[in-house]
Amino acid sequence: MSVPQNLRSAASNAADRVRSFEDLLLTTRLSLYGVAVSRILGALAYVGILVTNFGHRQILFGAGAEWARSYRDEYPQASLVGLLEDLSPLAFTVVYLFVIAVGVAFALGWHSRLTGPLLLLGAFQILEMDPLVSDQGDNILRIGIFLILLTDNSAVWSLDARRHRHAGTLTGWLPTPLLQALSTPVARTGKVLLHNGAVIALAAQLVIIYISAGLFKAGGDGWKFGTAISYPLRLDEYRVWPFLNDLVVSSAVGVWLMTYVAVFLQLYFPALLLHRVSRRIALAALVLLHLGIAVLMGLPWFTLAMVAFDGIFVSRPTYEALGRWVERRWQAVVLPGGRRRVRPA
Amino acid sequence: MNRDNAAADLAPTPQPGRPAPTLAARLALWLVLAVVVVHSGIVALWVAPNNLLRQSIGASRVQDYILPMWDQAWSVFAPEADSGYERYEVRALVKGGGGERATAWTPVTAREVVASVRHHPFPSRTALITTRLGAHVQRYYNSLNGDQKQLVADADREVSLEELRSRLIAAADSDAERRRVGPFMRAESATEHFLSGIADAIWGEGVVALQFRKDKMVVSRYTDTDRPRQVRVAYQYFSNWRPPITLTPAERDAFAAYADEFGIGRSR
Repeated sequence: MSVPQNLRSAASNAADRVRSFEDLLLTTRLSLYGVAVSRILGALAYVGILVTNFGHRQILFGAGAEWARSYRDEYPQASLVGLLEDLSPLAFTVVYLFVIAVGVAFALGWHSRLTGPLLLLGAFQILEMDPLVSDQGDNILRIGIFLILLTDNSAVWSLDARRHRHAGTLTGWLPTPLLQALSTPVARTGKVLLHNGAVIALAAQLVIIYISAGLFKAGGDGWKFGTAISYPLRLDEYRVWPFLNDLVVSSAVGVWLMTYVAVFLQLYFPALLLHRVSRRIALAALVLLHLGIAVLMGLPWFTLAMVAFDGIFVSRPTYEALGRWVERRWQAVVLPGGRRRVRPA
Repeated sequence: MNRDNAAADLAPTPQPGRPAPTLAARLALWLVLAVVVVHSGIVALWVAPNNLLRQSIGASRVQDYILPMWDQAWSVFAPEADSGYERYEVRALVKGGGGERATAWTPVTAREVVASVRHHPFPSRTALITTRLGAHVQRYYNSLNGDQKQLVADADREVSLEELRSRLIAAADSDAERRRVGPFMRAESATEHFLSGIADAIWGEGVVALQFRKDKMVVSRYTDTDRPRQVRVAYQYFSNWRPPITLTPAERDAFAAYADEFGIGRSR
């Protein structure tokens, strides 16, 4: 083989690869199960925040939260909020309950093109009434759910998907001409493109979060020395189960190990995603880390918000296997005659 | 050739009945990818510590893009993890019996935090209110100049929040010092408003002035095994007697219900 021929074949190989990369992103919706999981868990995080603060809704977000005005007037999101200002306590409670209901509907994938945007708008308006007590979980929920709304988030594991399976076509609250316009090839490709763009942006967002969180920690003495996690765990503010926290911080080696794992896991998260095996280890470790934060520090919704979007990194076969397992369990429990239904004679 | 096989493996499964993507679709794809790359780059610049590239691009340009939708900060528990929390106590000057009498000090944050967090796997956000306010007041108070600090100390029940703000601005010696008044007043007015609500719930309509002080609980160094878990740092911030903020009926109801939960309200 002469050299120019080799070069030409290499060039055409590269062109082929670019072409099949383009084909992939224009025809295949990436992480279709992952975005469904993000929809479910993200919506549940919003619902969880709203439900567990329901008893204090007036003093935190409603007519009793006049004290927080100096904060909400000056915060970056001030220009986007204010729809709930001046509502009577009763009207505010009705809106609050409605947003919870919309959140449950979105988690179930019920008319998700309508319930998703309503949840984002409603939860954002409520939580930003009191920016003083918000946390980064609110930020990742706002950003993550917004990006998830651009994806085909209810194509699987949703009531929408079930309805479409039964009806055989797109139905719902949209007027027919719009539905027809949405089913042309151009619109179909556009939707796939939007879906994939949003998934890639979400993946990049998560990588940015973990790397920067790891870098900021690496700059701190407590993280370098290996004692950092012992400080919040001994602070009243984070002691939900004091005996459990005391148990966890009782071992110096354990404290050092957990502190170091937290830093390195975040710092190397993107690199660990690259290989199938290291990805599984990294994701499992990350879920455990967040579970620890949820239980030991009393930050369950922050944790759920963080984990929800990590779901896009789990592969389709893993989710399908998980789905089959759940289905088997479900049938065994729910159907009369139990397991016989799964294995017909 | 082996390479061709590998390329064929990478290709998506052909979808029957669907034509290959058009040139326009391919161009649109690259446009979308470019948008995603630029967007992610700006987010990364915003999230990163202050750096040369952000300054070269212009920090305010980055901010204009990010706020309000993409706002975020990930220095969570970093560079140092939280190791202390501020606690407010409040007392009031109450009219009655022909004169005014000062009540006993009532802890607010201590009860709030313990009552909302301990044995509550799903703590309410109320646990954060006064301790965060305390941290903000302290941080921005520390940033004021000596004259401004004195003005804060001298601001008694005759000095409204608006009056205090204009005095602090007048006492600023530079633009930088003037800019520090806003964050301080934001925290201070929210604090006075919130504690007025608590005072109303505890002592009712007779409150003519209130005063607050603040201490801090700090976790001992992990290696100091002979010291207690938390050590109390004595009062760092003592307010003058301040005028109570006027509350709406809905606010009074909300604070009454809230204070009752922690056993500091009048039982109604």
